[in-house]
Amino acid sequence: MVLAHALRAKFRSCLEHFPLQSRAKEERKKAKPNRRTPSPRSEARGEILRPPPSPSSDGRRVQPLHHQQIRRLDLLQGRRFRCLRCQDYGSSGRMDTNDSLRVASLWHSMHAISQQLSPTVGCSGIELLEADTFDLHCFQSLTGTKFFVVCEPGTQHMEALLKVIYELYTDYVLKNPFYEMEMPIRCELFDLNLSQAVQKDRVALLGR
Amino acid sequence: MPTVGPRSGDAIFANVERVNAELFTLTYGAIVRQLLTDLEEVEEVNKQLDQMGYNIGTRLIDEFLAKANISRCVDFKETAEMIAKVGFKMFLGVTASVTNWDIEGTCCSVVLEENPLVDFVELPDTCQGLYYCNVLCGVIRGALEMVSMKTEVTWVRDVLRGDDSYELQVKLLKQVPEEYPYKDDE
Repeated sequence: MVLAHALRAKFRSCLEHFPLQSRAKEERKKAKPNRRTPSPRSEARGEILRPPPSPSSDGRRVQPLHHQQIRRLDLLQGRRFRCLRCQDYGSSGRMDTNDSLRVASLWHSMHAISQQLSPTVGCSGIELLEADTFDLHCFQSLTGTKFFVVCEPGTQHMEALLKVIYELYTDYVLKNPFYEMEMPIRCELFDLNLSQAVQKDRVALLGR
Repeated sequence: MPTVGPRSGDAIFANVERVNAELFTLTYGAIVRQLLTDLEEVEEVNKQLDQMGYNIGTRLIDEFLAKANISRCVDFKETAEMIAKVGFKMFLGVTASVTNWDIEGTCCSVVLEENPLVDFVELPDTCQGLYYCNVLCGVIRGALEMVSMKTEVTWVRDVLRGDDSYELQVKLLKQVPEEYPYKDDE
């Protein structure tokens, strides 16, 4: 597809500007195959999608989450290709707003294209992108909003963190009557709770 | 974290923070009364209640999906069951049942056993065309639209209008999968 080529080129050139990303070429990044049982898109009937098993289900050996492990958090993306929120936590490689927006729209496009290109039937998009210097975990709700986190390679429990953040989003953003849907998120309570979720060991406490 | 399936409506309802039911009924009643005062026309009030419900529904769906740990439903029948068994229980604390499926499986009735919105309410003669709980229609419509389903939700039976129960008809008009703002160049 012409569009895929164009996006690949754009992605490569954009990444050259970002200090997070070393000169790793796109070929070295491999999208992990969809760990969920594949399920068709909403147009058709199909199997029920079950949440994937977590990597370490041994509760006794949960490692505390160091906030330094999370480089950048949560470019939330609405249904219309818009980046709603972005937060940098790492000490290295901070991006300014424009770069964040660019990366966010790139990711949204890649996510959409991956659904079409995927060899598995009814793929719901990239969940995990592993690169040399970072991992990117993405969670997409059934309403189409995507949450993703860029972290150190091998960081555990990111999926649980993304679920926690989804719940924070439903509480502090959606229930705020003055928040307009699909607009950038400027809710202080959300920011506060988000920082707490990232900085503390909230993930380790999830026992549900 | 072990794999968790969808949680039951009772379990979630037991865990959420709750508010006094009378306060809820009074608040809703105040909204309807104010709308009647402002808009005067019963049809306009019905439309406005539906619109309010729609706005609530578009936000409520994410809360529902997050708390209930729901995975994608196989078909519309499962969707309707989820709404009745989990949704209504979780948000209103009432049990509902799904009946009257049509042949294609796109239209059904959701029957509410009880309705906390209408405690202590009687419709006067001047408001005979009013669907007092029209906000519920809007909520379901708004919520389903956010998960790519265009539906039409109307009241079939309404106790305030003289029927014996509350019955909503939920009709799936079409599935609208997410549109991407580009076309394939092939």
